[in-house]
Amino acid sequence: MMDRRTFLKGLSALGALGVSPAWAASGAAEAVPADQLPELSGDLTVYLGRGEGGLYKQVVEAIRERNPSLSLEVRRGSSSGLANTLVAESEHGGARADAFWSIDASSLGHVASEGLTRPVPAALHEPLPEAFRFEAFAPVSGRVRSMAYNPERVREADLPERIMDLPDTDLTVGWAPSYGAFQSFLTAMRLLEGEAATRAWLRGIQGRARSYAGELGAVMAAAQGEVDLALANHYYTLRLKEGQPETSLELAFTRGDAGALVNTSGIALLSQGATPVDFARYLHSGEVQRFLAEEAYEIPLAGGVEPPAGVPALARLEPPELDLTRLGDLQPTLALMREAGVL
Amino acid sequence: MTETGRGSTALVTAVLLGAALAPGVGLAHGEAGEHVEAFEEHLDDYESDVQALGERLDAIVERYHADGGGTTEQVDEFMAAWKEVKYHNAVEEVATPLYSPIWRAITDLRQAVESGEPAKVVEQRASALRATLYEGLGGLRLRASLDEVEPTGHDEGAAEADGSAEATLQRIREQLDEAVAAYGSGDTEQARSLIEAAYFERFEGVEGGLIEEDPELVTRLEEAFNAELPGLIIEDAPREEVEAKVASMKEALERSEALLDDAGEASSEAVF
Repeated sequence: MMDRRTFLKGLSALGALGVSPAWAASGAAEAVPADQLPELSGDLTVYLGRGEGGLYKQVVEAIRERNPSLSLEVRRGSSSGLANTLVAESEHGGARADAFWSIDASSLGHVASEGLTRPVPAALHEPLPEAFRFEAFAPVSGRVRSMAYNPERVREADLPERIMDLPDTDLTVGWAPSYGAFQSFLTAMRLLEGEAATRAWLRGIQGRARSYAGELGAVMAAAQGEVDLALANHYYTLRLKEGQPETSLELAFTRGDAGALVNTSGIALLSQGATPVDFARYLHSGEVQRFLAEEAYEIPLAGGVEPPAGVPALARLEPPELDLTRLGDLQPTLALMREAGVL
Repeated sequence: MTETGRGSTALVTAVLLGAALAPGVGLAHGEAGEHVEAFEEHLDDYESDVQALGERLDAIVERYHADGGGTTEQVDEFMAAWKEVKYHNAVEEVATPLYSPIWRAITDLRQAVESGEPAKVVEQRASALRATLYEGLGGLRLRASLDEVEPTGHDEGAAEADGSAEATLQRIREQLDEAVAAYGSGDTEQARSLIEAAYFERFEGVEGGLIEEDPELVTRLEEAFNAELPGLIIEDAPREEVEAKVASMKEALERSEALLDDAGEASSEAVF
């Protein structure tokens, strides 16, 4: 992974050009059209994390239909459950999958930590920004943490640029502590800022935070004025505004910290051979990346593909430098949350 | 909940929605036993396997109680035995959607033993594992009872075999019923686990399109899944209250299904 100084330098230069730094010009090659990819053949077993309303399944089926010589076996389940299954299978006779497409990086990290993944080859890194080139897995699409706020109640200028500064404001906050996305965000904070700072952050906000059962509930609370802002993944706001365009709601992002964490779905390669790699290349094709952006509101990671409509000011987006596989280290985060009384 | 009840529900899920593999389809990583080709003639063998595995679970729990703790050695032996029995290959190939849950339940049990959880927790994990084993057996039996089997040609997952929101919402409703049954039988941990799985493993996957149609409905379901229903279980509420809450949630899920159907959720753009 590139060092932070280089990464930020790139961000700054691209921001001046009005170009999305993380996606467009940090070394990512243009996404390849599917008709330029090799035809897939032979046997391939893919474990597929369930999510996004079957859209991942739709992608896999489209790849199957496009490659009639491919004998593709798919097993679906929750990403964490499949990761556990892979580990258990490997302990007793060898993993049964050739590739694992998971909706979250922590499940991939769990599998990688058990030594089940093979290094991602350079060919799979090429279409990705340098910040998303990992050895353990190839990211496919992203989701970014955000602050959703009602511009009729809160000025953008009153929002903090750093998530660690949020306790120093008088803004009320909506959050969903039981959500995996929130816990990953807090894990990122713990890894980046340390346990003491994270504990202080939780305690600093707790008195002005209102818990919701889900992140959509928190976002709607921001729109309706129950709270000043909601900490949530970006797509809730986009979905809500797609259905209710009159909703007064905007997205803002912090800079270079956990508040702007970009978590990804990704594919881990579990067996040798070209077919799993070529399968993954289809996931980075322009067609699949566009499909995920338009249908799932996910952020395409391959070069040259537009992000979902409604994601504002991508040039401002500044995710932290963090090995996403470390987000699987959840237990200390949960302990902190319990200690602070937010879980 | 009874083991038979769980098995029946899962079987309906697997078979009616076409999730199970056709018998005899080879695995990418090795051939199954020949018995799988005629699995319906080996149901008694599979039942014996499950009973034997159940006895091993009893032994694990008894020893854990007696020793005030335990080692993972017995669980590892259980895993080795599970890998060896005919039932293993049969459930993997014929009732495939029920295969991963068994592995997950084994992992859960092993983690409980490894981390020295109280005997009560180990007993509950063993009970949950036993339930998944019988669920697999139920799946095999129902599969065998079908006059005609339509092979799907590839592995898939439980009710969501076709990946549709309709199938997923159907499976969620079934899981809520299973949770009520588990609660009724006193297995509150299993009940909460089923509710959590229904939400995080399934509802989250279909809520995206629903947010665009009726966000208030989604937030009500978020509250019900993550706060209200688990709250009733934690409070040890009368079963009737739990049933009433589940009934209202199922109504909301049916409303969700209708909304998504009207919105033509299946008519999303082609990938290529």
